[in-house]
Parts: sequence; structure tokens; C-alpha cells
Amino acid sequence: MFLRSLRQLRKKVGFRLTIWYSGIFILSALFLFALAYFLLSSSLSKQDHEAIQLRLEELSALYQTGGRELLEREVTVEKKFEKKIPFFIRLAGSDNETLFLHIPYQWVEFDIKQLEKMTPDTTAKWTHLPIRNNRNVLEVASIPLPNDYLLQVGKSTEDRERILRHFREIFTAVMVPLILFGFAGGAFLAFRALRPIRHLISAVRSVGPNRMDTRVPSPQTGDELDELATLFNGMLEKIEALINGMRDSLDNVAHDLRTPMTRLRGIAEIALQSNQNLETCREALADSIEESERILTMLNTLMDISEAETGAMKLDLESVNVSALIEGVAELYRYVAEDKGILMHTKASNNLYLTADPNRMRQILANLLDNAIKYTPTGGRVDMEAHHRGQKIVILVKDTGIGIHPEELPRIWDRLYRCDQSRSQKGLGLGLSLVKAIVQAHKGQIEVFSEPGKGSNFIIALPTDNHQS
Amino acid sequence: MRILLVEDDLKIASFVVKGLKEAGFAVDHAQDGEEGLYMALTEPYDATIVDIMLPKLDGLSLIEELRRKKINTPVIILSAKRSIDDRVKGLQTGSDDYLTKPFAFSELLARVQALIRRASRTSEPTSLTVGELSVDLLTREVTRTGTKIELQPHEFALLEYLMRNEGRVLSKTMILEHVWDYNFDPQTNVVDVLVCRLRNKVDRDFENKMIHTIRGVGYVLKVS
Repeated sequence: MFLRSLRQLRKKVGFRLTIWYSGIFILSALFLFALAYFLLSSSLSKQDHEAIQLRLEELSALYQTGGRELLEREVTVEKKFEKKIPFFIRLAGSDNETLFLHIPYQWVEFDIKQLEKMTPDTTAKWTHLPIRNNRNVLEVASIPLPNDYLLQVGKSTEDRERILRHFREIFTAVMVPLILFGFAGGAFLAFRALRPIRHLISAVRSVGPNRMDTRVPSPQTGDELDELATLFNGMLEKIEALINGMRDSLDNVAHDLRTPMTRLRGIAEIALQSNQNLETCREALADSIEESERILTMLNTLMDISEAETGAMKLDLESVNVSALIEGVAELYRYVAEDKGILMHTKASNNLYLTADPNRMRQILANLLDNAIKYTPTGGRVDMEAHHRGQKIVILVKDTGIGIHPEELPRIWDRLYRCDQSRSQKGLGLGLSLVKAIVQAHKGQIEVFSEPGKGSNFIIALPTDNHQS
Repeated sequence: MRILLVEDDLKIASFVVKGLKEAGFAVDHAQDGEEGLYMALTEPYDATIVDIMLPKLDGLSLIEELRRKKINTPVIILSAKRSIDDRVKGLQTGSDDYLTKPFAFSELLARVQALIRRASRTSEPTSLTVGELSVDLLTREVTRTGTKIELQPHEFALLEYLMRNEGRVLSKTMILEHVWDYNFDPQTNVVDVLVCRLRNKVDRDFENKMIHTIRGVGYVLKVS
């Protein structure tokens, strides 16, 4: 249980930051201390060594001028006046036997006999003589005298050790609160650094299906977190637009389907209520099938429009020969135009190519052509043309039909809008919305020029290299 | 001819079973994917109709399992989704087809028959005869009671299609697909116009009408 919560704590960025902050802080404090300790201890030992060396040279000079007596007298004088810095002094004979020895009373515990046992090695500068059961060491420097005599001067490290021990004690006393301070400071810094992230988290958490309008407060500091907040808000914006768009289109679809559903229900109800003969019932059933077919078509078209408008429509893009495309669609309507007595004409050079979904292209052209033929009276003319215009390919569907009233022109792209004159014709009122949505899904534009009584001219402009990003 | 239907919606299943039986098929019905797979593995069928959304084992997995077991019965997939997902496309070998819900039963029937015909690879006839109407597929000559009828290419294609499916109702979508190779409904009356033209040439001058309109469903050619 404890281990698991520890493991979870370890995963928290705040905790990790705290550990890093305080770890670095404590390590630097330790490093500084170690450096100071090393410098102090080496400067102290250097001081001691210099003092010993100086004394050794002094005494050696004394010996050489006045011999052993002068040396002994000097030490006695020294003893008498109790000089501040005590030294260990030993004069050894040629067999390393002690001839003269002076040990300050506080160092009597050193085992001087050991010096006698050692073969005097004048090349090694320092001899260390440990005290029994103590960490202090007697540092001894030697100098050879004439007649193979040996003069040794030494000093205990206890003074030095005392200072260093004191230093260590102070450090320990300081380090405990320092570590605590390090942790506290680290935690505070981590807390501070993560504050914008916590804001972000709480804002994100409050975003729900019904609360898409929440935005993350931007600190306006221009740093990475500010950027993150801005990016996140941008993303929320997009999601909100998408959700609203979907909700709207769902509402519209539901609304648009209610009318034909009511009709369907009405047909069935009337057939059921009255005692009609079999033939009328069969008529009603056929009506129902037709009506349900209409509903299905409507639903499919509405979904196509929604998909195309929201960019969710899957386009199977390929290189399409525009001339073949136009010919194919014209072929579909050849008989219809012929029967109605309309002259249909196509014009496109053979080297026009589009990157587009050929099926969708056929669908929109068929839609436009269907309208053109539908609203052009017998004896009229319908033209389909394609040509290059700059980097675009322009496809025209022109008719000499009844035209569209200027007041109605802007509304023809609206879903389910039907012009007054078109109401007498069969149709869903979705064709042009679908055409526009598909053209836009192909990154193209569509315009219309129309004059009542003279005809309409639909112009589609599509980029030649339409690569979906 | 024996057909397996794997469909969990009982109402849809009952009308499909009834319709197929009326059309002269023996039909077995499984209500979930596992049962369907078991039946498809143990009994020989001429065609299988599989809904995609099934309890226990979905339709695509069922078909994949069948193919893994080297059972190549032609399959018609029923899907409530309009756009066919890529896995279905991947499954579509020469012997498979799909239909989206809601569908017209006549279309399902026609597709089942087409699949079986394709799978059994009956030899191509060189001429078709229905009642007093006959078509020579090589010379493309059409005669009714000996009178020659001149048809334009699309008219001929429609007549051939209707005659090959004598007595079966063909929907507008199927006609569009077959005659113009269009796989969407352009919301137009082009099919009606084509049928009307064909009627004028084939039926108008004769007493017995052969091309009939089934309202809301499609067209059928039969000897009345």
C-alpha cells in the first residue's frame, strides 16, 4: 500500500522536480563543504610542516655550531619558558639509538621505541608515528647530522584534528537544517513552476460534453506554457466548432426527415382507416415504398452534404480526363434531352486533366445537367464546356431555360430551398447544396449567373492538382 | 439452390426468408455469427447472406473465417453503413457483393441470383428469347414476332439486361449500374426515360405488353 502510493508519488512531476531541485542544492552544499574542508586541512598541515621544518633547520644549525650541549641547552631553555608551540625533538646516534629526547608531556603516549626500530631513511621526508588508540599521529621530520647522527623534530596532529573536528561538527549542525531547507525550497519551486500546468489540468477537467466553452486562462507571459495554453484553446475551439456543426446538421436532418415521415405515416393511416378495395391498398403500399425511397435518398444526400461540409467526405482522388467526364454525363442525359427536344452540346479539349473523385464529379455534373434540362423548355439548348483558366479548370453548365430570379439567387445553395418556379418539378431541394459542398470539398468554387427568361450559367472552378492534405 | 441467411433482426430475416422461398430457394437462417459460421462450415450452400453487425461474431470475421477454411461460397454482405469500409473492400473477391440497408428485396434477390450464376459459370448463350421477343447477342438483332426492331446502344443494353433477368424486378439503381456503369443514384429520371423509349419500340405496337413497372421498386420483363 505504502509502496504503491510511493510509486505513484514518484510519477508526479512535482515530486520529481522537488527531488531534482533539492538534490542539486544538497549536492552543491556538500561539494562546497568538501572543498573547504580539503583546503583547510591541507593549509593546516602545510603550516605544521613548515613549522617543523623551520625548527629542524634551526636545531640542526645549533648542533652544527655548538654540538649536542648547545642543542640540549636550547631545549632546556625552551622548556623553561614553555614556548607556545611544543615540538618533539630526538637526537639519534649512528645506530639509531636515542641520544637525546625531548617530548612535551602531553605526547608521552607516543611509542618512541618505534622510531628506534625503524631504519632511518633520510630520503623519506616524513615519518608518521601513530599513538595507541587514538587518531592523532606524530609527524616527524628527520635531518642527517655528521657522524651518521640523526636529528628528528616532530609535532602531533592533534591541534589540527581539533580544528577540523570542530569544522565537521559545525557542518553537521548546519547541514541538517540546510537539507530541510533544500527540500522545502525545491517543493516550493516545483509548486511554482507547475502552477500554470495545474490551471491547465483543472480547465481541461472542467471541459465536458456540455461545457465546451471553457477556456484555459493564458498567463500572457509568452513562455512555453503560454504557448501550450494558446494551442490548447485553439484545439478546444476546433472541437467545439466540429461538435456544434455535427449537432446542427443532426438537428437539420431530424427536422428535414420529419416532413416525409409524416407523409409516409399519413398514407398508411388513410389506407388503414377506410374500407377501401384491394387496388387502393396496393396503391397506398406503392406510395409508401416510394416515400420511403425518397426518405432514404434524402438521408443519404443530407449525410453527403454534411460530410462534404465538415471535410469528412472520403474522396478517392485520381486523375480524371475532363472531356471523358463531361461526355459520360452527357451520355446519361442524351435520351432525356432528345425526348424533350433540347439541343445538348459539349465542348472540351482532350488534354484537360483534374485530380478529383470521378464519381463525385459525375454526381455534381449530373445534378447540374439534370437541372439545366429540367428547367429548359423544348427547343432550348444546354451546353457543357470545360477549359483552362490559369491554374484552374473551369467547367460550365449553361442553359437557355427559365433562369433564376435575382432575389432567389443567393438562396439556391441553401438546403431544401426550392425556388417558386421549381416547386412544380420533382426534387428534394438538396441538389445544389450537394454540388456546392462537393466542389468545396475539392477546394474549388462554384458561381452562378442567371437571368430570368434567358437562362442560367453555372461555373465550377477546380484546382488542377487537388491533393488532399 | 440453398441459401444461408445470417441476420439477427428477426423481422428482416423473416421477410428475406419468405421472399427467397417464394423465389424457389431453400433457406436456412442463423441468428448470430457463431451459429452462422457453424452452419456455413457444416452444410454446403450456394450463397450466403451475412449482416455485418451480428451478436457473438461479427459478419466480417465470419467471412474471414470461412475464407480461411477455404470455403468460397459467394457472400452478400448487408451493412447499415452507407460507406463501405476498407475491410469489406478487401474481402470483395469476384464472388462477393454488398448491399446497404434499407434495401429492396427485389434487389437482394437479383443480386443473389447474379452471384449464383457467376459462381456456377453457366455458359454464355448467343441468343436470348422471351416469349415472342428474341435477341441475337452476336449480331445485336432484336425481333418480336419476326418484326425487326432497331435499338440504340443503351436501349439494347437495357433490353438484354431485362431479358437475362426475365420475371425478376430490376431496380433503377441496378439499371443505372448496369447500363451506364454509374454506382450512385443521380436523382434523375434517366432510367424512366430509357424504359419509356424501350417500351415505345418493343411494346407500343403490340397488344401484349412485356415491360411492366412495379411502382416504387423497378421494372420487370415477362410474358403476360
